[in-house]
Order: sequence, then C-alpha cells, then structure tokens
Amino acid sequence: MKTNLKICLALSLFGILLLIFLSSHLTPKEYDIMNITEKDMNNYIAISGQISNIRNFEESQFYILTITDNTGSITGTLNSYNLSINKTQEYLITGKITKYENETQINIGKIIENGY
Amino acid sequence: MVIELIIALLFGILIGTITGITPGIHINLVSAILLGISAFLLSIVSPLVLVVFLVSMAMTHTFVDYVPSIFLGAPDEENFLSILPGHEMLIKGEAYSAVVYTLYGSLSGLLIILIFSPIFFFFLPIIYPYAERIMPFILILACFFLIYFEKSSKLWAFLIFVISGLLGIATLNLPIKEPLLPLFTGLFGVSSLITSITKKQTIPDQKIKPLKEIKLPKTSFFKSIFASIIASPLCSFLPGMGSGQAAVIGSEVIGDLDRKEFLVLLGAINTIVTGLSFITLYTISKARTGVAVAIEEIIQLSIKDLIIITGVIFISGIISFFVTIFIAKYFAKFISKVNYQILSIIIILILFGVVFYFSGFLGFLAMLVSVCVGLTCIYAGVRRTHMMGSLLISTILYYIL
Repeated sequence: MKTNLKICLALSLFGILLLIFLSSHLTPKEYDIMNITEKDMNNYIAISGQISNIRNFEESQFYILTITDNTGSITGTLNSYNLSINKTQEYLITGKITKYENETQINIGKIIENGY
Repeated sequence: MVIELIIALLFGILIGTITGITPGIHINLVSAILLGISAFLLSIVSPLVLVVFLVSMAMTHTFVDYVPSIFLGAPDEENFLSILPGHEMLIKGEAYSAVVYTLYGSLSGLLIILIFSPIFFFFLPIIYPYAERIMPFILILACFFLIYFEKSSKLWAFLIFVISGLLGIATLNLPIKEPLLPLFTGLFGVSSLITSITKKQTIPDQKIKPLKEIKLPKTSFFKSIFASIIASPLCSFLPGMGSGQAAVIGSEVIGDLDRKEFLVLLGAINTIVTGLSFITLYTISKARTGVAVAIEEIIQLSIKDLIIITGVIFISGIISFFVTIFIAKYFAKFISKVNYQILSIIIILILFGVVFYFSGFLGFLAMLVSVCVGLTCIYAGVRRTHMMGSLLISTILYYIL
C-alpha cells in the first residue's frame, strides 16, 4: 500500500507540474476577428487586439468590453474583481466563443499584454 | 397551449432520464443542442414550451443521475460526491437504499424550493451584493473545518487538499471544453473504479426494501435538510459556486454527517441549486446553470412564466421520484448478476471515450492526473471530500484576486 501511495503521489505531482506548464504555455489558435464563424462556437480561441468601451455593471465584477483588431471588433464578457486596462496597449485575449441574443461574443478567460 | 406544455414536460422527463442514466452525458449538452436548433423550434412552438422542456429535463436529471453514480461509480459535475457513500452502500448490498436516500433529499428539496422562492424573489436583489462579499470568508472557513475535522491524518488531508487545488487551477486554465468533466471523472469516478478492480470487489445481491423500511431518524433527516437550507441558496446565485461547494459548506457547518445523512444532503442540494437557479435568473438576471443560460437565450422571463416554471419543477420532481425508484430497482436486480470487474473496465473505457470526445487530448491528460490524485487520496486513507480543494481553492482565488 505504501509503495502504491508513493507512486501515485509522485505521478500526481509530476502530472500537476506538467498541467501547470501546459496551461501557462499553451495558447489556443489565434484568430482574426473577421474569421470567427459559427463553427468556432464553444471553442477556445485567442485574439490579438486592443480593448475599449469597458462597461462595469452595478459595481459588480461583471464587465462587458469591446475587442478590436485590424479586421473588426467583437464583444467580450469578463468576470473579474481587478480589471486594469490600458486602452492603447495591445493584448492577447483568450476565451470561449459563445452567442448572446444572436450576437457572437467571447467569454474571456485570460488577458495578457502582448509580447509577454 | 396546455397540451403542448404537458407534452414538453413529459418529453423533458424522458430526456432528463436518458441524460441522467447515461454516464458522462450532461443536460448542458442537450441545452446547447436545443439552443442550436432553437430558431427552427421557435417557428413551431412558443418559447414557454421550450422552457418547460428544459426545466423538466433539468429537474429529472437531478433525481435520476444518482443511479449511475451510486451503482456504477460514474459521476457527473453535480453528484460526484455521492460516489463515496454510495459505493460503500453498494458493496453492502444497499445501493437501492442509497438512491432512495438521495430521493428523500431531492423531494425535500422541492418543498424547500417552494418555500424559498418567495424569499428569493423579494430579498435576493437586496442581499446579493453583501453575500458576494462574505463568500470567500465562508469558503475559507469551510476549508479549515474540512481539514481540521479529518480523523485519520490532518497532514495528508492538507496535502490532498492543496494538491487537488493545484490540479483544479491547472485544469481550469487549460484551453479545453468542459474542464470539470475530466477533473471529477478522474478524481472521484475512475479512481474508485480502479480500486474496485484491484480489490477484486464483488457486488452482493442488492436488497430492495419497501420505501417505508428505508428510514432515517427525524433528527438525522432534519440535520441534513437544515444543512442544505444553509448552503444551497448561497450556491444558487453566487458565481463560481455549485452543488459540490454547497455540500462541503453544509456538511462542515452542521458537523459530522453519516453516509445516509450525507446522501440526503446531496440530493436536496442538487435539486435546490438547480431549482433556485431559475428564480435567480428572474430576480437578478444571473444564469448560474447551463439550463438557465439556455432559458435566458430563449425567453425574457415574466412573473407568469416563473409561476409556471415553479409548477413544472414540482410536477416533474414528483414524477421523477417514481421514475428513479423504477430504474434503481432495475439496476439493483441487474448489478449483482454481472461481473463487476468487467463492468468497471467497460465503464472506465466509456468514461475515457466521453472525456476524450468532449475535452480532447488535453482533457484526457488532465483526467489521468486526476486519477493519480484520486488514488493518492484513497491510499492515504483520508476523506475524499478533501479533493474538493480542486474547486474550492479556484473559487476562493476567483473571489479574492
């Protein structure tokens, strides 16, 4: 039993380190906004662009914002307690494509400054 | 219109039963498919008919999904904690009773929904901002009690809690669909099945007792129901919170619950969280479940719709109670006649396939790591609820960062 425990613990720790590495280094496929279609619904994608029109609802943690790249713009939604955005900065935004009231939008998972 | 609504309700019960007994198939999948074809469906039927279907399906699922979880060890995102006491009762020949205990909880949950609906309706918009602020502290306290009350080894309990937390953070940050599916399937489902195979566990004949003989002392019953009343409403409207977190908060607040009490608690919580999510959608416009999201897309709820939804919750719940009893009896007769090792291997392969299909290779990898963590917890001999760290730590970080 003790050997099994040691093996499982070692595999768990190695596996978790691997997953942490993958989660911080794997970026979903990057899209131009104009190329996002119905086929991408519920898929995770990445967009490089600038963020504007940040709206915060009733002092809550829910934000609606607009992401713009050279090809178009898309609405993004985000749950965050600390959102600090520089509107002139280029960001890499990753998230899941969804539809709300017939409009395609991205439920944002991560926002990182481009180049990092 | 009334006939259409009744047909939608019955069809919802049928589909909810199918999703409930099929390992890995979640109602969110059906909701997503329905949303995809909603434009066509709405040209045939009114939005309310689709909503009745969705609500009836969701409620039925919360009743039926304990059957595969308890008999087969195949969980879904809401009921994974039932595997643990459920499996213990299965190897004692009491799996049917285990399902009935969850049903008692679910039925009580229906009554609690009826009682809480008006309270939610009037007070939720007022208390929502305050509840959101204190939630991380409640969760931290629940984590503390979770580890503090471990009877075996507090050090191992803490280790498993932290390792699960890291696993949860890593998995939820992977670019995969349905990240909770590989996480819980590995932590609670496949790890239990592997242990059953290695122990060469045999399943005895299952006792099918009449309902009047499957009893719980009044104090035990009310203890479980009280715990569900404390925890479920919070988890119905707060982001990042679900049935799992509610079960941990409820059981830690009330103290030691035996396995029967815990099953009643789980049944009640699962039903209450699903039921109240529709009320939450109306009162504060927050969709906290996949089905609530689908309803939000289909209809702008009115008070009249809400009254109909409450009726559907109640009627579909009552019917689902009897449907689940029928299915559980069938499973109880069938389970001891099959070779449990082979059945476990088949279920593991099905779960592998489901995870690979929905979450891809990365999801599969996350599930393998989750299996290792699940087995570590089993071999360390501490309570498996410590693996709830996989959700609790992410939720706490979500609130405080």
